[in-house]
Amino acid sequence: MTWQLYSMYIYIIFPLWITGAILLYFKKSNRNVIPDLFIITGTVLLIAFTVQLWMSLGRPPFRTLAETRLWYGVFLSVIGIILYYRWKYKWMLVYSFAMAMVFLLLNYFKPDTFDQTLMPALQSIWFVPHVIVYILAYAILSGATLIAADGILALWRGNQINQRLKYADNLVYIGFAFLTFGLLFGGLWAKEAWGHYWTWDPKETWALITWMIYLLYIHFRHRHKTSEQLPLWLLIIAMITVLICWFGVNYLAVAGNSVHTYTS
Amino acid sequence: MSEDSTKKRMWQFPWGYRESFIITAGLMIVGFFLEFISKGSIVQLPTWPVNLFLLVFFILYLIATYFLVKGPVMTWLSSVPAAMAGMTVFTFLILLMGFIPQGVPEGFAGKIGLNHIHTSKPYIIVTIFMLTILGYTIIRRLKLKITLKNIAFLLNHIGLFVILTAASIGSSDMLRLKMPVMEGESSNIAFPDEKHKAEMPFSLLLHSFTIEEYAPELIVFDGNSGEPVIPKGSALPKIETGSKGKILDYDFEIISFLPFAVPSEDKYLISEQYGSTHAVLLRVNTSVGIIEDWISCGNFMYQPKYMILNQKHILGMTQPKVKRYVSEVDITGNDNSIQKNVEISVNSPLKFGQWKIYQFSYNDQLGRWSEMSIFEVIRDPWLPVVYTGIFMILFGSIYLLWAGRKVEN
Repeated sequence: MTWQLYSMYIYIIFPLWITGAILLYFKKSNRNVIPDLFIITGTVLLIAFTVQLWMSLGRPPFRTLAETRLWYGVFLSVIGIILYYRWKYKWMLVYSFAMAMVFLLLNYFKPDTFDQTLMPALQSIWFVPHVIVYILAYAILSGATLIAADGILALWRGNQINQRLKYADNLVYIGFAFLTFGLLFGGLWAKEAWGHYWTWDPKETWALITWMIYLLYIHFRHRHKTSEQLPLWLLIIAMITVLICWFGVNYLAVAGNSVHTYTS
Repeated sequence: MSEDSTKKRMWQFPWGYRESFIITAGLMIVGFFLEFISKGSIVQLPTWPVNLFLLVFFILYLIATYFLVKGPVMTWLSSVPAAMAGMTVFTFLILLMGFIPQGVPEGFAGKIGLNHIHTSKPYIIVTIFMLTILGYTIIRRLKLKITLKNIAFLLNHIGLFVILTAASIGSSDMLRLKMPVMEGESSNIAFPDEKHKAEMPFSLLLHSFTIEEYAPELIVFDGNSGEPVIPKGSALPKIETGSKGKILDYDFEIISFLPFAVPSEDKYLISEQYGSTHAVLLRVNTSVGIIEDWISCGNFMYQPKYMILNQKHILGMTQPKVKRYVSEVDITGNDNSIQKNVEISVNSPLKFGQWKIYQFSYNDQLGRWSEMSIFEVIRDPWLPVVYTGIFMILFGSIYLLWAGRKVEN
């Protein structure tokens, strides 16, 4: 009954993260590790919950949308911590935690029905790598979108943003590589499970759209290193397509017989 | 957008974004127009070996024109603006595919190809345009010296070129047929569609078809609406002999679970005869007292049986979900090569020469009593080529991971 323990975890993790973030903003010396401890403990607890869920389900927890949101929360908080340690970007940490909290709250208000079954097509060695690289990609690319949102604000205030775009490039390169892995792993898996690597399933179509838009971003940045507005907005549009691909497809007229609808 | 395109006049070389987008969008519009006047007829791609000749011709054409034809148009064809325009218009077409249901015939949308975009003329024309740019870009890059960066560039771009060409031009050589076989029988007949049948170069003898199931679950229905009542975040209790638990506010105890049962008067008996169903004897504590009775999920042979808890709630059980289905077969080729007692299940197809045999379906009306297994047999000679492209991009992407780490701070 692990999803019922979820709210208990949330009651502990959220205060830890929020207190940690507030303390971080008032942090004066680099030696003060108390805020870091708060934040990291919160993330460790979230990972502990995920592990517990995995064990109690007896199958990898990647099947339902709520399960993918949980992983997204895990990855995004870990990525926030990494970005903070690497570039000392306090706001990056705070934003990525805020975003992780939004997705975790969705699970709090709309929990899943606990379902241990896994249909035959999902019983494959590709299942875990395919989903995990995708959620990892989404989490990393969300980081790039946060930078873009911050960049748009900065431009509006008349500040320099070129450095921010370089950070975004960093994340897009890494995120795009994972996105590519996800797409190709999906193809290799589909060949084994359904006999063809590409069937224009709505989710596949949207995954390709997402991939193409990041591809456009990379090519544009490669050629136009000084242009600012367009790449920033491309990152925002790209994230919208990510969200449509992840959740939105189920609500579109095309959803039909998608093999990717995760409802039980 | 581009500095140079704002200073110079339209159509003055070098062409920038405005010219690139106008040309690519123009190609797409021409495609829609062609689709309209050809009344939505599907382009039939040539099969082996004509498609191979076409592909070789296309590549040779790209190489020859690259070296023989000089001029600003050639430069443009391997420029970033042309590539960006090609990618944008291509993305636009897939976006249409992402919003408009495909395969559904619809008036005007159908006439210009919007309901079958990936076989429509605008899609084919834009793809060829994109492949042309990709091809020239690759050739230009091949002349540069060998560095890790260039190798990664080539892996990614050649990989994409290989996948796009082999997957599209090779699709005409792909054969997909359905092949139903009855238990204990042998067959070499398969069906490409509902009207035709074909003889396969091998035959399948189906020894057995078995379904493994998950345990069924208890479920409460609303007494008035008949809708299931499932508190969010909670699980439906699994049915296992001896288990105790709570569903909504009712305590229950499973006295006996029979995975193979037939009804007999007011109870169920163990029986493995054809068509037997699942039944469970359980004790439930309701507000009006303890009820002990049988319930059953029923199947094609027997009615389901429910337990009325009170005016508000009815207790039932779910159909067990399928965990795995497996066919055990002997496969014999026309040359008398044979593989005996091999298992075929979802996610583990059987390779036999050029063919791959997939567990596709069974008679789902009959569920575990299905005596028919349906296979899908597929021959896709271009698959190794597509896989080569896939692995090229996989390796190229590893470089991206590494490069992403390295971008200047």
